[in-house]
Amino acid sequence: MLAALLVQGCDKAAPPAATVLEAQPGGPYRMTLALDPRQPKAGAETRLTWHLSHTASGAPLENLQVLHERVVHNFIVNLDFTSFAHIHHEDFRAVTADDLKHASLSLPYRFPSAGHYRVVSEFTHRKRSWIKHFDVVVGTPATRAAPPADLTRTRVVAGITAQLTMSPPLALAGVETELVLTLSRAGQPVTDLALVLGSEIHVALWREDGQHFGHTHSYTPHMATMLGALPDPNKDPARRGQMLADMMVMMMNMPSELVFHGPQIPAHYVFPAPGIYHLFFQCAPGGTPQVFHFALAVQAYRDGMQTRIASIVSNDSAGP
Amino acid sequence: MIRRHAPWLLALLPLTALAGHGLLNSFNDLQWLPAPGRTPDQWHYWLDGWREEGALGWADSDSARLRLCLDFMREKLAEAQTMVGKSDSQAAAIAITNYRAYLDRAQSLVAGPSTPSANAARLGLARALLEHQYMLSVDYVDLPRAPRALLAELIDELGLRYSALRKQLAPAAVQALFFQEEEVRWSWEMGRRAAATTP
Repeated sequence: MLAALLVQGCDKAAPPAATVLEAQPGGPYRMTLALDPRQPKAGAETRLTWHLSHTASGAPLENLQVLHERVVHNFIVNLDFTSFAHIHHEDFRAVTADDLKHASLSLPYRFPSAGHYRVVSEFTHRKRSWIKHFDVVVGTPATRAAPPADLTRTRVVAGITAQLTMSPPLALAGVETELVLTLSRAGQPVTDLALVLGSEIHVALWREDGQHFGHTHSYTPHMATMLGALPDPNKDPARRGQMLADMMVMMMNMPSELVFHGPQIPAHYVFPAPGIYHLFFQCAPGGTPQVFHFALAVQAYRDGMQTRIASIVSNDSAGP
Repeated sequence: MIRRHAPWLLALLPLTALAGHGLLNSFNDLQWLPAPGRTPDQWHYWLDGWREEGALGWADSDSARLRLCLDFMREKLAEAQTMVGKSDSQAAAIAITNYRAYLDRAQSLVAGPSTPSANAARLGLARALLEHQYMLSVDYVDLPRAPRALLAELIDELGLRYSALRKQLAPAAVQALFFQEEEVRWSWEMGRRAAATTP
């Protein structure tokens, strides 16, 4: 009893070791992020610890599912979009039974510079993917405005040239868009892509104001075929819902497979709202992961605008 | 480039590939239901009705009244869900009745000729109906079996009301809602399936 009082007393006296942030949005699951030290400094190591629980009961979230080889995918971006990381607990050490029992995962991270950061964390439970986010202030952020987005379509990183093309050619909010990354090395097409965490490509994207995070992957002939086989939602919405659910159930825990060897990698996305978006394409030419950062202007859809996709992906399981 | 695949390989598509397609993340920025506040099982619940009627009475435009109705619908939905969670079907039914009343008022506020402001109001209500179906479908499996049937009925009813409202939307608005519609369909089917296998 005395010991308990002493411990309690000590706890009250000592400042908390870490800042604990609450994820947004709310919902049936609660996610927190503890930062240690409490005020992260640019370039210095900060321990980030995520904890997941049921909002209603407070109990740790059981049976977290692994998707794309990781339990929780974390995307950390400086909101001036000068730095990006796609990072996981498992990148540093294996997830233990105890970690899962407490639904608690952590990793060390060095925020590269002072600024306003957004940390987006994605996990899967009961065959549903959930996305939560946190806002972290590192050091004393500069007050100057972010530089204007570079809307050009070519980037060169580590000797790899990436070119971004789209169909329809104008990205429209609420309309499916095919984004195609074409890679070359010294003027020659890249044909030695390797998988990165179970996919040829991971695309993480945000609107310029930090809203509307999205995460997508390569769009394969399998997907084209499956989506093409779904009944018309206007004619048989119930059957369409059942088939979507069937597809999701089938797809859980299936092995990853390299479909696109290069030079082109297609991804599909529906931008939810107009604005300038920053897109980070993560892929591994020659087995070495690289990140290509593009910015894209997405316009509001108006009746009569061209929305047809001239896809490079055939839906009959044949190549483009 | 792309290798050929047997049809059975369709099953080998990773879940999040489709998730990123826009099917499973169209509600990423959803504002979840608020805390229920006063609930129908409390003796002073009638104060809520007074407060809400007062606010609607003071509202000086249809758009302000619509905003209030949408807010109150969210409150009533939170109350209904909380009452179902407490296995209090009677109180849940009261909250649902109140929800319907505000939905009826919202629908009457967005009726009328097609003007830019009326179209925007209809789109706002349509979005709300999708969001409500989605949130109910997600939480459904964790609620007690018997009283949650009330919410299942409500989800289906909201689906029908949404379909009727959708016919009054501009093509661009319908296009913008496609992926949320898809996610609601999928989510409710998943909720039903999970519920069928959960005691």
